[in-house]
Amino acid sequence: MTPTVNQQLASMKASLERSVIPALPAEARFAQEQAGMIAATLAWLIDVQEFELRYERQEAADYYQLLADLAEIDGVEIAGELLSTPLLSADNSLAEIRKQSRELKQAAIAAAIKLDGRADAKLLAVAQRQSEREQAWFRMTGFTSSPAPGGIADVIGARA
Amino acid sequence: MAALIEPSLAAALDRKMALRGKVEYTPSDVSLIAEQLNRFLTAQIGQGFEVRDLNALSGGASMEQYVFDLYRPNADRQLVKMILRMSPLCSVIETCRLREFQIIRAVAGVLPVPEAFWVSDSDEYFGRPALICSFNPGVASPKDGGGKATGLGTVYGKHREKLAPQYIRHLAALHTMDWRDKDLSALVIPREGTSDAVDWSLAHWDRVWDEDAVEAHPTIALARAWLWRNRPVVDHISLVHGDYRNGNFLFDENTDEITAILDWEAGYLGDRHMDLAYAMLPGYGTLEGGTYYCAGLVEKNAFIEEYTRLSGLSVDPERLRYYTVLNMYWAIIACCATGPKLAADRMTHLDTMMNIVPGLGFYFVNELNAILLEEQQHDADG
Repeated sequence: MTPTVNQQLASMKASLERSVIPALPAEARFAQEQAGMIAATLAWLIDVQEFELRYERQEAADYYQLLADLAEIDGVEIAGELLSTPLLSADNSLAEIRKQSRELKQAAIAAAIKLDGRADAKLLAVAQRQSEREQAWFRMTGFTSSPAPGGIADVIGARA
Repeated sequence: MAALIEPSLAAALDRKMALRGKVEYTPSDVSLIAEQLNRFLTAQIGQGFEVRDLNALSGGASMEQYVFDLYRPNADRQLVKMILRMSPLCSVIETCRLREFQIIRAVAGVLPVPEAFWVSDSDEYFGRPALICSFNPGVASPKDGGGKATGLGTVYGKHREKLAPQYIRHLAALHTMDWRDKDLSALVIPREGTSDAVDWSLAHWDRVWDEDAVEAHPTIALARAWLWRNRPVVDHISLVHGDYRNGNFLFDENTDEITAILDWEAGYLGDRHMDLAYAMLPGYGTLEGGTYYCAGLVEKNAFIEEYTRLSGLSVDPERLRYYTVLNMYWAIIACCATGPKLAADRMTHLDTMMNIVPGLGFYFVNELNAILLEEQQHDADG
């Protein structure tokens, strides 16, 4: 399929930077600021957009596992259908995978917090893995920790 | 019983929720703003004035701002450059213009601040709350460069040496000033020796998260539980700025004098450690030549030592740690929940920026995870 989404994003960014931004009046500072942010966002999308589905699947897998681990702890009740429903495959739509990921996340975090500290270590371990993904996904926004995070492809690929 | 949220802040959140899903932001027409401004100023000062050179002001991540000259031929000061600060339809941090107005007036004479002239706390004149203050001279960051150090904040370069002592002195003056005879009627006064101020702050940010987050987050859940479990009492009620960092003050590049401390909308009565911890947050500091400068200005130990000397107030490491977590908690909520929610609902003039600010929020998530891990290890060690 051509043009690819990345090619279209790159073309839009180039047009914006070559033709639109230089044509903005010098006194239109707000418009210039916004145009600069749009160009930066396009660069960011080029960096990550191919990985959104894999990102959500990995997030769903992390919380499915956490929920399964919590279910082993005495006194924890987990809604049965969440663990009996298999994780969605890459054949499913992004929206379906995201929905499953959010439901698992909501249930797992609520169950962990209810344990009054007993599952905090498990929850924090999941939080740290999630943070690695978040740092990689948002690295192009400029708010990066030290050492700088790797690309999202590397972070997701390392856990695939 | 649920903890109190200060009524003026609860009202700002109520307003946001009332607008959600019903309206989208549309750009303001400058001619409409001019008309509204004239009507408002007429109500304040009568006739005999002229609004000149009204223009939108860029920069900032919350307020919608316009700069203009107020010409009054019969006044002592015939021409005054002013700023109209309007609450946008919704903001990454919902605040109250009356609180901001009262706080600026309360600290005038103690710290360099813009002159607060008038406030419209209702939607009557501008369709939303607004205040008018002076446009102060100075720059927020050096125009002569200084480069980008490792870190996220403004880099002051050669200006740092003269700015740092003023930055600390002004903070000490703020925290030791007697606010009790000032008109701060929009703020609720917490009881000294209790955790009132912390409880209200937590209740406020918990509500914001619950209303704005699109999905659950483990770090927020863990931090919330930790913050409620470890609430410290406030030993001395200070007026707290709430956003005291690099970039939120103006200075004269030639003399290196701080000309105005800005952005008072997050101010409240509470614990000085809130401002201290915020000023020391890693996200705003700079790493230059192997040395870390809080707010791009001063090393942490020197900051604490000088602040303690000037204020006569102690700096407690445990409370500093608590308020570091609290500051990260609210920053994550504002950046990762409210920002993208506003963009999704098309409710600000800064949609693109609202999708970028989670980058800062997730930077803090990473930092906060490290603190929570240390706390867990500390608890495990008994």
